[in-house]
Amino acid sequence: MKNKIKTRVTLKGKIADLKMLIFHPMESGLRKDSVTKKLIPRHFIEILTIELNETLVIESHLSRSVSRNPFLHFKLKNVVVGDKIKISWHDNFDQTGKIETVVK
Amino acid sequence: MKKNASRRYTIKSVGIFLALTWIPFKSFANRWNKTAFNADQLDNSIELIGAEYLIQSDEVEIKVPQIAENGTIVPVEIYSHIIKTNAIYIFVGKNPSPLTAKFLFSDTSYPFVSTRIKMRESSELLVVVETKEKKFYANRRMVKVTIGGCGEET
Repeated sequence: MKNKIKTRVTLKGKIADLKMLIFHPMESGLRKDSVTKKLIPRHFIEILTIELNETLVIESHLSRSVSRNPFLHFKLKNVVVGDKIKISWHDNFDQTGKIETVVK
Repeated sequence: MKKNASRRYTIKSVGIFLALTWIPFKSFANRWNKTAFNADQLDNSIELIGAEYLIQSDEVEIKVPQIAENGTIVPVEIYSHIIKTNAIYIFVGKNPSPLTAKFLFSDTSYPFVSTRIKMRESSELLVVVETKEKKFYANRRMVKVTIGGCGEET
């Protein structure tokens, strides 16, 4: 499950609905561990980028207030079958994750 | 003499190589506005994104439940009908750090986003839209939260 991203692209004409589910704890730093009673340190995605055919289309900056396993839905213009969509993220622990999909 | 010159050349080229690879990496980490995201007051975080005043506008469409049962998952859908929208910011007034997310759009994406956020308690949801001319439009919704979504134990 670690660093996994699930995506779904649906094409309506030239508009692409891009939905993604990223598996990430998104710890706020306010939660306590039920066993040790210690605060769990902040751990969340800072930057998430969407690239369409290697050009940056959307850049999102997230924070600890975004829900665990973030779900995001975007709409892209001028997308045709065969276009490549690349999603990559970077968190405050310098961990990264990425996925590339081809529009069908 | 010749040996010395070649050594200098290698030092120089290694230096240039390091500078070229290091600078983009550093700027990547700095893009995330740390001060605005860590600010604990709503007014303060609005100032820190560069907005001096907000123009109230219904062209910023917000779809959010009036009553959210679970504060850990509050679905939010935003569509900006303002032309030349550059960025969308989401603020939750009573969260420990109000600025929740920032989305930057380009010409090949619609200024639309749908996501799920955490809310500690019943609060006002403020959405700010920044245009390319650096004007800031805003719209608000009140959300009632039954179970808060910040400090719960696992």
